[in-house]
Amino acid sequence: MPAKGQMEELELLRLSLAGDLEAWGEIVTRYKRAVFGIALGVLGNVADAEDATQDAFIRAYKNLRRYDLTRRFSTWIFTIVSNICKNRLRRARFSTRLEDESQVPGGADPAIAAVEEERGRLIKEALNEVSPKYRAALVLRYYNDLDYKEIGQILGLPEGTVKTHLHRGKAELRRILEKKGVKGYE
Amino acid sequence: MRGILLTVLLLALLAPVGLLAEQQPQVTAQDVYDYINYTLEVSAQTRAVLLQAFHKGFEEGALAPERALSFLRRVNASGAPIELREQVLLTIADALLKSVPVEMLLSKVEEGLAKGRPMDEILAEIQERKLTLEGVKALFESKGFRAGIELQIGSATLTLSVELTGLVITDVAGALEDYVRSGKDPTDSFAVYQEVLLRLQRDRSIPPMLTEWVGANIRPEELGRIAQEIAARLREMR
Amino acid sequence: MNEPKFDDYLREGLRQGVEGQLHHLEGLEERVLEKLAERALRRGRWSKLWRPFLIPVARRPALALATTAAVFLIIGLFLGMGLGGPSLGGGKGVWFVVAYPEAQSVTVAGDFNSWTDTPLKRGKDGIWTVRLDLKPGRYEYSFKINGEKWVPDPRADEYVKTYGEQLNSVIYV
Repeated sequence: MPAKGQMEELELLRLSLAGDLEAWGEIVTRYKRAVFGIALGVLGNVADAEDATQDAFIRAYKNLRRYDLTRRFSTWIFTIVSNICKNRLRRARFSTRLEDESQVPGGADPAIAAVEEERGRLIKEALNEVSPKYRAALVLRYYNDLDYKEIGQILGLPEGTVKTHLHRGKAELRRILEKKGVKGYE
Repeated sequence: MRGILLTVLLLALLAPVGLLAEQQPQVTAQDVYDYINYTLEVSAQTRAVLLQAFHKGFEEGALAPERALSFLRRVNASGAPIELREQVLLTIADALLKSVPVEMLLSKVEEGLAKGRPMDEILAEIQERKLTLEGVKALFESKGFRAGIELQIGSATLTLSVELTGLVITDVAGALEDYVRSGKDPTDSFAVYQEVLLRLQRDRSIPPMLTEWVGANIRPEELGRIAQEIAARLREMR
Repeated sequence: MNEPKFDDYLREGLRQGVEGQLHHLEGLEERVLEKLAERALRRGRWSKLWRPFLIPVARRPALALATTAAVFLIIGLFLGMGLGGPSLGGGKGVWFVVAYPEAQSVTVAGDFNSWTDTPLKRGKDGIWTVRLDLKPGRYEYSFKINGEKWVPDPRADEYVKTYGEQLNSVIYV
């Protein structure tokens, strides 16, 4: 049997279904960056994003028997994390809470600031100010490199709406960056 | 609630009765010959070869008339050009005439037809697999493995039936084909050998004694050679 | 020097923004697996199934009857193999189970039925099942969704390539 690192995705999912947790661990390794990227982009907060990522992999495992093979696994796991983020944002609207300053993107923690490139920090900060409903589409398009169709499947939106969200989201982002005096793009 | 439970109880008791009613009409060799003679769309020359080959197959117990008839009907109804259909049937006939097990070939044709693959692709697929089956059969026969003989394994003996030899050769050939097609290294003879033994071990229709015999009598490099031949042929096909 | 287009600027910025935080993901696999293992232990995989049988039968006459019926049903299935699906003679009952909530039809075809379609039955939550009576051996097969799309079985024992890059599922009975 090949090492889990070299196994095909389908084989790993089959083993996971049979209760092999180690195989599921390999799936987590393969998708964690992409899933975390979505969560961080949408939630804008590292601790929440980390939580949402963990939650997404736990929920996906619990519901693995419902995973529809005609869809790509990535689409499915991205749908799960997007829904988790959407629910968290909805809940957050009703509960104002104080955030740990060091967890806020671009916040005061010098160690974190040092490892971040300036542009990354600025974009993330600006993204946090974009209307939440446009954030997911922006992240799926520009971080996960997905096409409109797949973004639509993940967010449960028609392709036309995805385009509108992207267009409006980008316009907002540009305005925010301009307001911060950021330049360096056409 | 009780009504449902009683229904379940009744159904459970009646289940075996259903089996008695399930009697299927027996297909005979003659039915197959009749089909080849009067219904199958083939040239007179092909018809003669098919009659001879299926007769030999039935005589040797290589396949059942029922299986043969359903297969011939399927190919005949495929709607593929007649020359291609004939070539597919002649490939099977040739296997039967050489006493090469045909189950894998029949299945691959049926699979291809079910999946709507073009008949020329189906033909190429079974021609490739037939060569592998022939190679494995020749290797095993060179070690004295053939239907009707008694194999000595440790202190036990086992009389080889046509069905068993067919199953072993099919499993070995299938394992070799799958090994190469999955992109694994055909020059790694020991990995090839392990793959073959694993297939035999997992297939519960093969007595463990036979797997033991294969492990002791067939050398890794002999299987590796066949795997490399498959790899070369598949490269050419692509 | 040309400045990058806004799209590329955004793409690169997001990549950097996320990558700067990836160290937070260290150990995520262990944390996920720990939670899942805890959950499995807490629940006990089969506890739900067995729970009704742990209640004294005398207090649950309907249950007693149900248990008897179930026993007879099982015996009936073993003797007759006639309730679950087409009988292929002399073998053991094998369940084919697959989840396709959105499918209109699911069939299974393979070496065991000469690659003809045996339909699966839709159950709760879009789970499709069929029970086939198979002799010991190795079988290649595939599911067909809505009469056109061939897909492998996520529960198969192994997979093999067939007709180019397609996958067949394999079951050892």
